[in-house]
Amino acid sequence: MRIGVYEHKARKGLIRVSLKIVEGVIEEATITGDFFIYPEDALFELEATLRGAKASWEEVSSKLDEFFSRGVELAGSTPEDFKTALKRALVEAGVHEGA
Amino acid sequence: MRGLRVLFYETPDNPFYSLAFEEAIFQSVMRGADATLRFWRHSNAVIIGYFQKADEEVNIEYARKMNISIARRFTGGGAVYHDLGCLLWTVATRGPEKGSVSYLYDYLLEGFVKALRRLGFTAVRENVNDVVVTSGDKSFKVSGAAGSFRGGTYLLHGTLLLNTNLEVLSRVLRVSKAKLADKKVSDVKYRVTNLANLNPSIGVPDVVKAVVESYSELLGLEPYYDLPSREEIDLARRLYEAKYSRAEWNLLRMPHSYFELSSTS
Repeated sequence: MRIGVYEHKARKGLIRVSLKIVEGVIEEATITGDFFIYPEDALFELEATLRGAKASWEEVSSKLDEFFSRGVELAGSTPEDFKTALKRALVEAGVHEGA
Repeated sequence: MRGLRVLFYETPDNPFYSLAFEEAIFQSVMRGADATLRFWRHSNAVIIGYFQKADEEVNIEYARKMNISIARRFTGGGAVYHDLGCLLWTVATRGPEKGSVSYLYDYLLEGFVKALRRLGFTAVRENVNDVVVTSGDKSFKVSGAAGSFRGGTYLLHGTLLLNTNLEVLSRVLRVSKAKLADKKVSDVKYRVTNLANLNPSIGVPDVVKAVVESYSELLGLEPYYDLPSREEIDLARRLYEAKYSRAEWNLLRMPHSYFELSSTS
């Protein structure tokens, strides 16, 4: 089991990603912080989407692209901020390929 | 719409109920109630944002020692400390059907900024949801806001530091290392302060009057004083029982869908 935690500071707000990776699969993913995302519950859907995903940047970034193409709105942060936070959390958990 | 409904409705020792009532107002305006302006306070509470986890934001040991409640709201944004020296304000209104962030943090938040200008302060919005007052060559954050919108209904709520115990505030809230590192290089430089430090002659009645006048003008609605409806109180009680009084909501960061009562329908 590997744990990866990364805190990324967006223009407004902190995006803190915590990943628990077991045998190459993301078992737990939480994205906490004082950011703004609308509709709010999309954030919890994103966490659910990441749970069970392969712990690779390729897989995670395509899930993020799909998520942000659905028309969620952010205030004070960008999809890139979320990508950075997820990517660095993967690295913290020892996933380096493509990073 | 008949006018701007003004409510003074607070349960200072029960932040869980008063946050349930916030969601009740949001739903009530969604169902056709008049635009509503609420003034309220908490006696000793930390309120965390919807996406925050209590143990990451709050010095739990200190909160326990000081008997500070930890409650979670349904809007995003950051943790705040409230005592009776912090005036809370909420505006809920119908707005553009095609919801946008800008209606909350540009249009509606500007109403509060204009209220501070009515009181003689040089006030501006900064960094999405902060309200900053300039005194001499220094800038101070005196207020922060957070909001939500759904199907053309908007709710924006915020703080106003009048005479809050800032030492308790700074001890009970944890500030992340990433944020501290950012503050050193950021060009946004302002400290949190009480309005009483900038102008001690301004009290709650002055602020309330200015905020009512400002939102009345912004929304083009005549203010009238009112009480919560029976439906709003019933709904707030149900939300309190099912969600806002529960550890799963306040401490474990479960989403609305986890609780029996759905958030907005």
